[in-house]
Amino acid sequence: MKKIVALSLLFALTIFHGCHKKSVEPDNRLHLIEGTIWGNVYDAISKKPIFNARVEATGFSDVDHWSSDSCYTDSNGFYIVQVNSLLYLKNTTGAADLSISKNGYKSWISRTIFYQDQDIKEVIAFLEKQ
Amino acid sequence: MILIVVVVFYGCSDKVVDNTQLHAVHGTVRGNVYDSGTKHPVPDAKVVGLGFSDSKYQSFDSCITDSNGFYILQVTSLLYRNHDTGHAGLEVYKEGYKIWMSNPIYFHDQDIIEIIPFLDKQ
Repeated sequence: MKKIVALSLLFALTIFHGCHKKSVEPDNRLHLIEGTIWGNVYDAISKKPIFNARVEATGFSDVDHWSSDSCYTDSNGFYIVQVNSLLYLKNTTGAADLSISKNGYKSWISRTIFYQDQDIKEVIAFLEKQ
Repeated sequence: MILIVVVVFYGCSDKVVDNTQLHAVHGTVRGNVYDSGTKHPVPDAKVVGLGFSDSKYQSFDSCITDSNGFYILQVTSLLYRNHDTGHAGLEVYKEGYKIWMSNPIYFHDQDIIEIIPFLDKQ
């Protein structure tokens, strides 16, 4: 008798667990993670700010969509760009790359920049002359 | 028998991890140099950054402060795989002032560290 009760209870629990799992939202929903990257661009030797360098940011995503933003540095070599990653719910860390170009200098590409939502990351770039 | 298996496994797993490989850790050190008495910026001071490494290799970078006493330098440490913290030293020279030397500056990859030296007159 006890065996029958125990087996019934186990069966009921298994069914409940199965149903409960189904009620959880799938992880394949998408959400947007936004960040900001700012900093200054300098000449690698003179350490003087580089004016009018083009800064391009690319935010990578779990889907085909990816965002890009770009700007030019001001007289202090300052830039600020926004990055977005469209990610599955299970992922909370976005990733972006920064590329900087200026006539007379070798083009500069950052390492992958990882960011959480609303992060403000400072990245300083030193460009080498061609 | 169990002991032999454990010893063999330990030997194999030890060979997989190679801690002697080197990797570079990059950082940026920046700040402003001031006169310790007047607290005014010190322009045209020479700032030298040294990145220390696990191997014989050391990196150097230097610059001259601008009219605001501002400087910015890159530092690099070449480290064995099992280390992730680099360290650097900063030296500041200016005629009429004593040489200024920093304490060791510890940094992780991509760190941006601000150091503000105050120079004493000679």
